[in-house]
Amino acid sequence: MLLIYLSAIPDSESHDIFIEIYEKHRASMYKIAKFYTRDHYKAEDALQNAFLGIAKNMDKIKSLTSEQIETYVHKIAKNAAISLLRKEKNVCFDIDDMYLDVASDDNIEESAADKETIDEMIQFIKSMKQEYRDVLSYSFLYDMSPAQIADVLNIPLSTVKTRYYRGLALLKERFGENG
Amino acid sequence: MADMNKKNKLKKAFSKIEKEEFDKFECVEGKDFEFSEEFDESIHRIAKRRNSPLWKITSTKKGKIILTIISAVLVIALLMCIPPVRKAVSGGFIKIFNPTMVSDVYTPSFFPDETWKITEKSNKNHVCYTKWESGDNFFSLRQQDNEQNFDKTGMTGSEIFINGKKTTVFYSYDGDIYTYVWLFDGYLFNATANKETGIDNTRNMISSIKK
Repeated sequence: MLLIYLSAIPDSESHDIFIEIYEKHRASMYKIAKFYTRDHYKAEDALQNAFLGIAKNMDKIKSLTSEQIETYVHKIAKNAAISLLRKEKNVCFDIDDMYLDVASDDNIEESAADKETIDEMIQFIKSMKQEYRDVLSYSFLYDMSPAQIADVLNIPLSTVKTRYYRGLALLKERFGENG
Repeated sequence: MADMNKKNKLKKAFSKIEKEEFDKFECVEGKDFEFSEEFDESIHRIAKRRNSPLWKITSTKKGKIILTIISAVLVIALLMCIPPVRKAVSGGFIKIFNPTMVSDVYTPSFFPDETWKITEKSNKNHVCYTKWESGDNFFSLRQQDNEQNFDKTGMTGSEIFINGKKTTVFYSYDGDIYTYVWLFDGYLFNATANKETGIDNTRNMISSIKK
């Protein structure tokens, strides 16, 4: 009885919106996925997962503005890429779990003192070797394990660990204990 | 506003650097990459599957749970259509929830007419007792599942067919009540009837007893 009821509901509108999202946002979503995965095939895999997540949330997406849709699909692309790198299963792309304020993600208020410290940190991090920055970035921002980082950067695990500890030592030396 | 701790500030710093690097990252479709045909097809398959009612159900956790429950109910219902399975399951439930109930209850399939109705019934402590009445006539059947020897003193043995199986039955009559006792299929049976019911009706009812 349930199946008969569901099959009677026409949903060509959702289908059209889905294809529209794909055509309009796939390039920007790919860019995000590629930026994090650094690999074309992994980026496509991540994108496929992202579009599956979008398909599951189409009923809610229909009620979003175009700006919110863009924010949502970009977030989902990033989440899909990071989840792929972390080899996570059963990733949740529920739209209700994502903050869809169109304003920048970096809109959390910073005090003047914080801003100064953060700017100082930015300058110092930029002065570090790129190879240390890459490893620390994946670790700090996405809690990725050394093995996962090694897989993304395509370098040996021991190299990741060496770069991580050296980079961390430099940060500690400059900014003290970072919690 | 409370100051952020150092770790959060570092995260913030890395996040801003990442954003800058992303803004510089060049990745243009047609120039830096092309989507493979397989990828394109897989996305269109997702779009098509999306419209399938089954996908709508199975794509959510709630849907999967509902589908699993419905499937389980259907399978159980199908299995319960098979008499041996049904009997085993219902017998099993009876044994679990009331281990002293008699699970295989025997009753007569013959009654002299349609006026005979059950007026008493109980099933506990390993004894199932049922009484049927029709006006001044009565017939009662007591079935005990822990088979045991019984006192045949003053009773006469004879052989009758009960549900097609030849059975030795012991009976007595005190001028008012007929009493029949026998062992059958692991149970001890005791049937009584008053003289108004008549010996022929009583014997016919006993002969028709089955599960």
